[in-house]
Amino acid sequence: MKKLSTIGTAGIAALMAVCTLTGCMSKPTAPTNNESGRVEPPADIWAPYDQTVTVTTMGEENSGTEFQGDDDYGNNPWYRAYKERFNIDLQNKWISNDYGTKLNLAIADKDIADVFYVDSARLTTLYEAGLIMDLDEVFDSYASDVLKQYRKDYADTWETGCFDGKLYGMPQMNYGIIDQFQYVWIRQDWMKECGFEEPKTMDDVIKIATTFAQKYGGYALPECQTLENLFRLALSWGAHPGIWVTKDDGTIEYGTIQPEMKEALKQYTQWYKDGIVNPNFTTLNWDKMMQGMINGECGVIPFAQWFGYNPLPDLIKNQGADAIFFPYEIPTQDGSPIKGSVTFNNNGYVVIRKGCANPEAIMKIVNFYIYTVNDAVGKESNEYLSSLHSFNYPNVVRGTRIINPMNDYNQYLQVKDAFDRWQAGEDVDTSALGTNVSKYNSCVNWITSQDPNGVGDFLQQGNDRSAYGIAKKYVDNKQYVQDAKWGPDTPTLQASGSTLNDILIEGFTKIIIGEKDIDYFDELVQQWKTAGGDQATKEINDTYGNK
Amino acid sequence: MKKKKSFNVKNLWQYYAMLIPGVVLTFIFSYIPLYGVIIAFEKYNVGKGFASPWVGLENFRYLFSQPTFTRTIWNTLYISVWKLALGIVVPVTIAVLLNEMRSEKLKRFYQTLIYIPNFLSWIIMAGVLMDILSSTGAINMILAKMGVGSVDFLGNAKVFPWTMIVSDVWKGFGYGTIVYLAALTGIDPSLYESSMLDGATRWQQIKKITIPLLMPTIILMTVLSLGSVLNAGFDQVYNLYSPAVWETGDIIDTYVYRLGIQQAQYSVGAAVGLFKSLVSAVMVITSYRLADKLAGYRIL
Repeated sequence: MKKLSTIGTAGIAALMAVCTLTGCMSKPTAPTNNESGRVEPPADIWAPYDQTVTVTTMGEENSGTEFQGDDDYGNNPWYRAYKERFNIDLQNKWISNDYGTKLNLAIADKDIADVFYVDSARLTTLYEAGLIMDLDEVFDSYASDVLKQYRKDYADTWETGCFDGKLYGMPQMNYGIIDQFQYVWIRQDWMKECGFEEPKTMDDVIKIATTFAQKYGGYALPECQTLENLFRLALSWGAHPGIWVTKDDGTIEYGTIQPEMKEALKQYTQWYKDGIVNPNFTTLNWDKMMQGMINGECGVIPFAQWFGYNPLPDLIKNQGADAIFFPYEIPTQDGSPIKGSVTFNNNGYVVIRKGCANPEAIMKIVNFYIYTVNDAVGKESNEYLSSLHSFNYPNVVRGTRIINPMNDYNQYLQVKDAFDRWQAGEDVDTSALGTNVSKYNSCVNWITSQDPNGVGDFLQQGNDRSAYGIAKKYVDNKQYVQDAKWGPDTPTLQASGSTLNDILIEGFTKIIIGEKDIDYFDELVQQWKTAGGDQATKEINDTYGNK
Repeated sequence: MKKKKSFNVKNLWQYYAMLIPGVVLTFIFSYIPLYGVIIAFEKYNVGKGFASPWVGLENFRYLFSQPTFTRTIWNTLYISVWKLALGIVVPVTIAVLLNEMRSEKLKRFYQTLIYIPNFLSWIIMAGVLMDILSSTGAINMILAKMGVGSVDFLGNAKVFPWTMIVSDVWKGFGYGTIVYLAALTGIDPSLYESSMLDGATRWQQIKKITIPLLMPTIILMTVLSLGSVLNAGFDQVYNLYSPAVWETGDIIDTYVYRLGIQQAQYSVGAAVGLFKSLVSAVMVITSYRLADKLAGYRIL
């Protein structure tokens, strides 16, 4: 008996040891990078390869994409187009809903795809680690004329993708400054019931907001922990929080610590005291604030141009189509035209792995995206273009696309023109709209069937009352202050930019809720400066000043 | 009659063999990763890995130069020491009270009832607490009925740490109670019987028998929890705090989360981790020595 149990225990022990060892010795499967040699590219940059070229990428999950039929991230109109047009087989190494973290792991493992997109901090990391290739040669030989023109037109942005004068990351650009402005959004059914006109002064805005709160309950102005709405309304006092402003003497200073901001804060504190600002704001995060909007607790909100996309569709489903909000200009204190804040905006950088066998294949993919946006109308069928650009499919190729910064501006002109003609009862030839046809259709759907999914496009571009209608005026009249930091963050800002902002947000909160008086603002500015603000200001002036 | 235990490997080799997996796993997962501590002394670049440039104590200097970091140490200690203290007093009291209960059924009912919140994650609890504690929430309604003014539990910097302490103790005391109840059942009933013959009252029994015999368990639990004295409860605080209460509610972990993760400063994050581990090691060793000296208690 004794013997048996000894053997038993020994057996268990051995078994456990073996399990442990095999557990840690089983190797991860080898990465399936395509290292198979180079395929000779054809001379014409638009021609297909003779042999199929496989290119890998890594991507981010996009909840906005509505895949049709059997489509998915690995099989969709874009990927099929690459195969049909160029004989390029684009494959996803992985798609993640936590792109940043997953990308860091991939970089740490040195197991990256041939092409993907990164932010400016990771661009530096990858360059310093020597993992990405110098793109100058392949760009010169294979970039389309339009892409080369982008590089000329937006040289300052393309400069930020260079190290030692060599291009390592192609900036993906943005939809243009037209999408950066701020508005006061006001609920229309309440506005009509109360008989209010468009607000001309900030007092008008507050009068509308407080009347709504008295009549329909809730509170007059929403707010959340990050003080977003304070920073939006601060434009009214000529403050430009969050961007770097050039003073009269040519030096650059941070907008959030300027005297104009103190004035705005002073008034805002009074509003909080008077119960105009939501008294619970300190405990609300952005989602909770929006939940309140969706529940109809509030009829006035300072917000960006995309209020119609989120949360308005949910708000309308909840409160009915009459509860639509329209955007209005933020009125200034002295009645002069408002100036918005415009920041350097670049969605990311397209980078190519050092050692990628066919980097020109990636240039072809990039060229193709630009072609479908800029030159394809008339050359390709409307169905074909809209199959690529509907259902948010362009987000699937987030890692390989470069956006035309005039995109939204031109789109607005086209969509508004077509929509105006449709409203006047004319026949509209949608084939001339190209990829913009889906925006136009959404606007029409909103009017004909009050489809909540169309309200975003309608309020962004649909008529004169739309956000872009107002923003176009700002852009045309140069009614904005441009961020003096026209490029990526300097080292101090990269390392402690958000810590520095935290100091200000915490202090502003204390002032608003009455824990400190308004003169604490000056003390706060000192704190900000000693915590690294002075260093950051110096760096910004050295990098971006006197240009 | 008792044979002296022999510890020679020959007789007991199978038991040692059974230890191997544990030792191997600990070595692989706890000792080898210790090497990663070096990134606390580097300017870490994900692409270069451990071969990143060496910066010595720069990360620590940076951390302690931040005006808002030092207060997080104080906040952490304040919140977690109170949590520790009440996390012992409350469960011991409740355990003793439950133990004195005559109805077994009722005892089990309460035991289950107080244990339930322990199973809910802080994500869920935070949502519930935000509703209950808001200015229009249940607690403030009751306070208003009682004629007390409304209290801003989550937005007032003076109240916030106590909201954290009390809610954490409330959520966790069921678990502690069960541990102490288990220890109580281990007490020899004959001690109570003989004390009764000597005419001891219930209160005297508790003071002279129950508490002294519970002491080893109390000390064990305290020593074990002292190691985590610099963890004031990231899940809880992160889900409930806001800039309005950073002054008193921002703890080391939440600060480092904003600093290290959101700004991708891994080296600084590692530096804080190392700092915390050192403090914890000192705390564990001292408290263990103290327990030995004051209460004559040793784990081994």
